[in-house]
Amino acid sequence: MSALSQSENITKKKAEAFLRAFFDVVETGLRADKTVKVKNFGTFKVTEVSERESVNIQTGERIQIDSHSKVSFTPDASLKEQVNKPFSQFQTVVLSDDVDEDLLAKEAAKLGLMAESQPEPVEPEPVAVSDPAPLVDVQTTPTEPVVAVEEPEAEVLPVADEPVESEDVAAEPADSEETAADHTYRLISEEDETNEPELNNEEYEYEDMKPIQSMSRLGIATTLIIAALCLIGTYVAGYYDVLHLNLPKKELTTQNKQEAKPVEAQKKDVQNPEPQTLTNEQKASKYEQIPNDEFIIIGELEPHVMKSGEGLYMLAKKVYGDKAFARHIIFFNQIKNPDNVPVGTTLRMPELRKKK
Amino acid sequence: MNNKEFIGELSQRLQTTPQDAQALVNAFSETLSSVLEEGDVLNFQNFGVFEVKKKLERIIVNPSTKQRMLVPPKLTLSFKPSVRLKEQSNEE
Repeated sequence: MSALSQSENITKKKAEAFLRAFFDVVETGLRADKTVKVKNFGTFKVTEVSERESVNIQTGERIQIDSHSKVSFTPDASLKEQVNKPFSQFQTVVLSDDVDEDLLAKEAAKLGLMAESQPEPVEPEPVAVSDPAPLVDVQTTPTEPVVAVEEPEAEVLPVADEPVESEDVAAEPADSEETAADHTYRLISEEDETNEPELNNEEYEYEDMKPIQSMSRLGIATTLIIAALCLIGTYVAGYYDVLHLNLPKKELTTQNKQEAKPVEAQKKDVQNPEPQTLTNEQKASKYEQIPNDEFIIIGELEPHVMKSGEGLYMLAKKVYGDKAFARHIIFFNQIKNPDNVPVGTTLRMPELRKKK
Repeated sequence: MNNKEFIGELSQRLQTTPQDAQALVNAFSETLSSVLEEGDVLNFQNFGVFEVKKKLERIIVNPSTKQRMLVPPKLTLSFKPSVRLKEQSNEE
């Protein structure tokens, strides 16, 4: 109260009178029409609370809470900002990796385990085993979960850390994911920045700020890890053969020798699958996917600039043949309000393949 | 009751012009926020308590896009009405 009288150069008495009048008027206003709005300060409101049942925590008795009204206060925007001043530099951050990937990773890990344990013991005929097709599948699946598992670790950090740091951490997994496509991405992102800063994801800004060196290092690291995991996968798969086939009958050891060759041949296949031909799954792992969807995103088509009178559904129908694909565009560009995409927005168009 | 009505009523009671009343209200809210900024609790007898509370950062998920967002921590102003004010509002 004395602070008020000082700041306004008025007597204490006057300040007191003012406060009394102020609160009095608020009270009468609340009684009269339930809300009192004060400029630069906030809104007082009386809200009705309907009756509800509750349980007494100590006795476990059911008690009835009668309907009553309560006084709530919503501070004005300016007052809110003033109070929040110390924290005002923080902003809401979009996390690039979501829970779905976590779930996907678990599912993929399950599938990988099933694929590793099932096919070889079930098929006794050497012909089937020497067929490389199923084995390659086995090798490709384990790589996916491990790549995905690395990310959740990074994800956990931001919760504990300062948000400023966590922004960087959140942006990193995205970088490591986009190893091969990095350069094209940066080109596109730069275009995006100039054209439409609004739609631009924060990831891009971080990507651009980061020195190219660290990105290439990350890329090399991830490829090395993937290659190493492929090798481990092959060895584990080989052991499965030996263990399962040695125990039941020794006659089968001859088969084992036959099998050893295909496994080795297949190792070579696995060692350098990335430079040769990327399977759809591998391509898809570079992009964030829509969870539980029939279609996977395996690449990027020509970006599209929105014209006047064009809608996302129309665009989807034109490009993919069905308007249902609009949600892929929405997901891929992380559009927040699909009903209102400004003219001139550059959209990245996902290349889609049906899941097997 | 909107701001105009409020200021009108206030100026009548204080026997000042509405402009002066508005100036007083602005000064009041400024003083209030400067006191609250220091983390103080402001208690007004028979009316209520103004208090700054810290809200922790949290992760929210947009249900339609499944996008996860990290919401930063923030300080919010909370008001707790006094017992008398509560009773008064309950009388009706």
